[in-house]
Amino acid sequence: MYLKRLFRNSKAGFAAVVLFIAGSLFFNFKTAETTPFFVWSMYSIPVKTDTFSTYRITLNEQVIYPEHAFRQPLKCMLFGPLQQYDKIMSNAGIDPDKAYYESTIVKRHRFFRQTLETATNKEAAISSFIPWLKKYLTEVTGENIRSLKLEKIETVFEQNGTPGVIATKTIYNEPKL
Amino acid sequence: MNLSFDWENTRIKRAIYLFLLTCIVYRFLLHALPHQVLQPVLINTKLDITYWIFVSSALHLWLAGSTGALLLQAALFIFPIAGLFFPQRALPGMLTTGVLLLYHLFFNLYSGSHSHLLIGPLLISVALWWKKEQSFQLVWEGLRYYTLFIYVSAFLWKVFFYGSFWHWNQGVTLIRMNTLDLQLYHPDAWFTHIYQWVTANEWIANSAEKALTLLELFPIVGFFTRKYDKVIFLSIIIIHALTSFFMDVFFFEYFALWCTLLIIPKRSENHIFRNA
Repeated sequence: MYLKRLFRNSKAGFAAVVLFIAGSLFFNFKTAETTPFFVWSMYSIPVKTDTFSTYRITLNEQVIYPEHAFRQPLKCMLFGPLQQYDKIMSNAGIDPDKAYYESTIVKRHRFFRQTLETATNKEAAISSFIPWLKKYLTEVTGENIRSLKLEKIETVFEQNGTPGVIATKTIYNEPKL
Repeated sequence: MNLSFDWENTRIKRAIYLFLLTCIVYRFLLHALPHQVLQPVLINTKLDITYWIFVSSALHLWLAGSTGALLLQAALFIFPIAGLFFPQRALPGMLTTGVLLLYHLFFNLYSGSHSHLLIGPLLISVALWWKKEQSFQLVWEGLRYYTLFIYVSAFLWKVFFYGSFWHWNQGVTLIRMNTLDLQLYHPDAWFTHIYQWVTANEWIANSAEKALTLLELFPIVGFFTRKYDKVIFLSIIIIHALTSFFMDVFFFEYFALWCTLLIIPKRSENHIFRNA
């Protein structure tokens, strides 16, 4: 058996592996991913929706979309912060995670209460988002920005399987000069 | 077809370092390395305590700054390159894990989504710490078990914990959710026609999603025998090839971890591996 051989080879190694297994099982049962105890629950929550939303970045009147899955890290870096910015702006410019943490993790230990301000986005960071995105888009595309539009698009799928846009929300618009 | 390899430790370590460098170059080409993301501003710790500790140390601010980001980015190249030259030394391996962990925390914190993309490189780098042949073999075997655990655990989450397996329309919904951009921006592309045909014929998309979930249980066999490792490897490739196409998520950075199923460290006289 693997653990037995491990124990014979190294007591410290055995202890580390047992701790890792115990931690992984514990945090999985708690459904709380705590690096390095990862929870492999991707796509396991039933998704019951008929409307699907996405974000659209239009730079110099051209839609910027890193096509296909193999550009995943770039997609994460472009659309993740944009989604977060939208969440914040939809909550009157206040990071909604703050209220969420106050009702969950902050109650557990004073460390979280003390760290709450550092762990959430403050006014300075929020107002720096658009300038950062412009810089990053310039880096990614190599183009100077003449116009920029950020939108959230809501869609539904028709009977024949094609998506139809039902609503568009403008998050930011800097028209062509 | 023989898919398994009996490699010496040094060769395996060099292959891992080379793979890690490939991942870093891949991310460099996608403008996703610390210095290339140009001091991002919004953070997302989620409920992960490790990220709370990370931000409480203010290390994230230093790493996002120009000097910190440049040093971290350089270290992501330098340590694996050093490892290529000195594969039997533990230090380059440990430093590689250290910088990968920092980059993993940095990238997830600032990209707003705690994605699992970098976990593959991070975990496989642990195999680089071990000088003694026996220790290396045991860690390699442990990583193989963890690879099996990833898929079995994903199955358990879908069937028993959150239960997406019991939601019939999950297949159609996931395909639509994940390929929406591709369908919107490329309405006439061949792949869009495939997505639309598959989702219009709901039973195909939904049955395929159920079949893929069941396929995630297959690696459980590997906990009892190594006999089917090649088949498990192929099943993992099938799972990821299909999810890459239909769900638009790409896990190429896990490849080295999957290889724990194919590559067997060469045993010396007093080997400790036994076929289970």
